[in-house]
Amino acid sequence: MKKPLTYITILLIIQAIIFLTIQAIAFKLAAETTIIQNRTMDQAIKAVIIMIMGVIWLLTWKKLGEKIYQKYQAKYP
Amino acid sequence: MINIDIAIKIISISILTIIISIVLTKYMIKIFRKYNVYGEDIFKLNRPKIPKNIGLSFIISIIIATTLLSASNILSWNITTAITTAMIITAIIGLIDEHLDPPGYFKPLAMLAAGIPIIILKCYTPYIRIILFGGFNIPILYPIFILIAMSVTSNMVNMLDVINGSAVWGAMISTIAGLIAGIIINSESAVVIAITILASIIGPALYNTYPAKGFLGNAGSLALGTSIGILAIIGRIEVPMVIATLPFIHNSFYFLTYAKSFIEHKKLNVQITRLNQRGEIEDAKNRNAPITLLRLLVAQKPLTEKEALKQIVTLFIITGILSIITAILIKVRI
Repeated sequence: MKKPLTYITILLIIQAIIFLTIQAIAFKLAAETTIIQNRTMDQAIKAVIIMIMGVIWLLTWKKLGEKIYQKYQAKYP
Repeated sequence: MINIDIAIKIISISILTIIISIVLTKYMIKIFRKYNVYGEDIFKLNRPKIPKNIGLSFIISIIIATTLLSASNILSWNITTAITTAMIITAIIGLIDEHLDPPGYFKPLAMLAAGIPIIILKCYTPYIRIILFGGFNIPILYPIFILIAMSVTSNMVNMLDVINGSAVWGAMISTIAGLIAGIIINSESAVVIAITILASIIGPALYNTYPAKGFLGNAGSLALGTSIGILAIIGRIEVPMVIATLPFIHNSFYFLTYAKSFIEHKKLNVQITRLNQRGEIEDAKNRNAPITLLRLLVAQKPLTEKEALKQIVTLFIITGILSIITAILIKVRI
């Protein structure tokens, strides 16, 4: 069985890629789209979109980390 | 860009700062030992008492360094004032937390204040550079982002200060990554601030690395995080710094998702990791404990503190490299 360090490294690389991808998509969409004319509201809506992306990112992170830990827990009850 | 004359001044000030940082740290260890300001090293079999709060030397060194840089016309007065004020605020919050034992939400809430000087003195550009596409202008949201970022960065470093050297090495490697990212992105302020942080960190790094002769204390570890936040915001390398600090984020995230509120390690009343009879750190196998970075690292087999530190350093080196790749991707436009 591989060391936890290997799995954590893979996890962090995956998270970095997801973060950069989500961010690029979110920012690109937000930068090129005006959702509504009111500037403040427009920015607030964009912030909500970014936050949703962030939540997805964090949920993925949580699930993957727990999976790694459970792998070792099963081996060492 | 930085010319030779400025480079010589920066190098001279950095050397002076390194000396100040080492001498101050050594002096603080003596002083705190004399006045019995101790912390217990729980991951040693004999649980030695180690002088704490040596991280204050980092705060003093960085204030001296930025003042000298300002006097040499390398850093503007407003950046210098913002850094100095943010560091003083952090030191006060850290010392209050250390000695008055306030509730768990105190640190995250109070550390928002470290961002205020940056906002008031307008030391930021509300434009986040992202990979491949350029960036995004967020003038209204950016000041809010600054407040949150300062609280997050300072607390995440503080939360990984669990074994000898983990916080200081994490902050140091992240800053090196920030320095290289700054060079790639052509951010003069990022380069100058990163060099200043690195020069100021040498003293605490020498004495806090395993086996520690001094503990950073809350003021020190929070200040390391504040400096990372300052580097990201004033240096305009927000995205590369997020990547560089992923191990810090990982640790805090798992702790907070478990605790579901801002709570101190010591007040959690759940043992996460423990020292076994061979002097190794092992998983406490407590179902209710959060899966922190250290717990995950020792999940397979117990590790010595030195081995655990090496693995944490390895993770930071990897995320540091990813951060540099991110900076290169920021330069690329499609």
